[in-house]
Amino acid sequence: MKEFTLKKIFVWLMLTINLLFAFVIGLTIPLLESESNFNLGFVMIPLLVILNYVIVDRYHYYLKHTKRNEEELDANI
Amino acid sequence: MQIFENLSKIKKPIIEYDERRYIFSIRSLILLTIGAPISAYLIYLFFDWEAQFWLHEIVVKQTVYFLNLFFNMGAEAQFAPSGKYFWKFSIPGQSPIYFETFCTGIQAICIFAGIIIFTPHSQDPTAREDIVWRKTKALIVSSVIFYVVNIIRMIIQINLYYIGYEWADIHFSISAASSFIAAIIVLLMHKWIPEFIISIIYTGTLVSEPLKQKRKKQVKEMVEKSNKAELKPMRKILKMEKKTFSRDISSWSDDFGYTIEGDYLVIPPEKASKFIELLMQDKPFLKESE
Repeated sequence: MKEFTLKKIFVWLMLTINLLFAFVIGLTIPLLESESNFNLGFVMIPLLVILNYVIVDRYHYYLKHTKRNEEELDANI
Repeated sequence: MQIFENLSKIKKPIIEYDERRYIFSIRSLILLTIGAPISAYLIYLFFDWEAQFWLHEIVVKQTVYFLNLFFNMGAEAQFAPSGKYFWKFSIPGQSPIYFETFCTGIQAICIFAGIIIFTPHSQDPTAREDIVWRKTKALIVSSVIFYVVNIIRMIIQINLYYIGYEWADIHFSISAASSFIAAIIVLLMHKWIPEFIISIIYTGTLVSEPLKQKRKKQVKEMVEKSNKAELKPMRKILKMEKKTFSRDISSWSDDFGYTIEGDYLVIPPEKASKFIELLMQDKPFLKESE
């Protein structure tokens, strides 16, 4: 259980960093002098959305493995 | 098309690495060879498009920030769109340096992005289970390393230019030297997605397989006819080193009870059928105890 809590914290940290990326992008756009400054958001936000999916998928992977390990442990008992 | 049909008939090799099994479909290997360069070029074209020159601005401004932070140079980022140059570095006492898409280092990121995206997944469920996570990790880490190394490269070059070196002398040499980082990225990539290197080895194995089968068939036919086999194809079948072949083949033939006469291996008639059986194994002449 302790191991899973650590993994949960890791996933939470990843999601937090992802949100911070989105914040930094939003903060940068009005500071840019280029005529196409909004394109930074149009390019980077979809990438962050994909990254969000990858992190959620990783959480699912951890859950699946923890459940499998617990089942194996129960079977051994 | 005939080549692909022949390849699809071959029993697929399995490569075991780090307790995982790697089996790739032929389609995924073809996709890697075609998809990776095309996608890398398309991503580069996307960033070379004027609408994406916000990237130029970010790279130029970050470089200028660090130049002024470390060397108190008084450098400035200037927006002056003309042709492919939209941004330039203004260096006190020197003529300005114009910035183009190649200076962002995006080309290296594009190449690795193309490779990482199109690296084939193993058909073994355990090996491909966390491939998306591993690919994402490789993509993010390689892109960040390339980006940071590129900015460090520009900081070094512009500082040398500021203190008086000729731009032509430092530009290409340092740019070429900084590309060593690609080797480090390949090593890192192999740590997270060994599928890339393994897929290259896999392709080699797959392509050489028909040749191996043909060689075995020729040896088999010759042994059936004359109880003799040529030594040259035998060396290739047994995967023996060219340098030590004469020594290795004599001890090997003694083990199996064969003799060598000139360029031929002579098999006693009573051992011919066993010879053919061992020859046609997946791993030729591998004893069960091995």
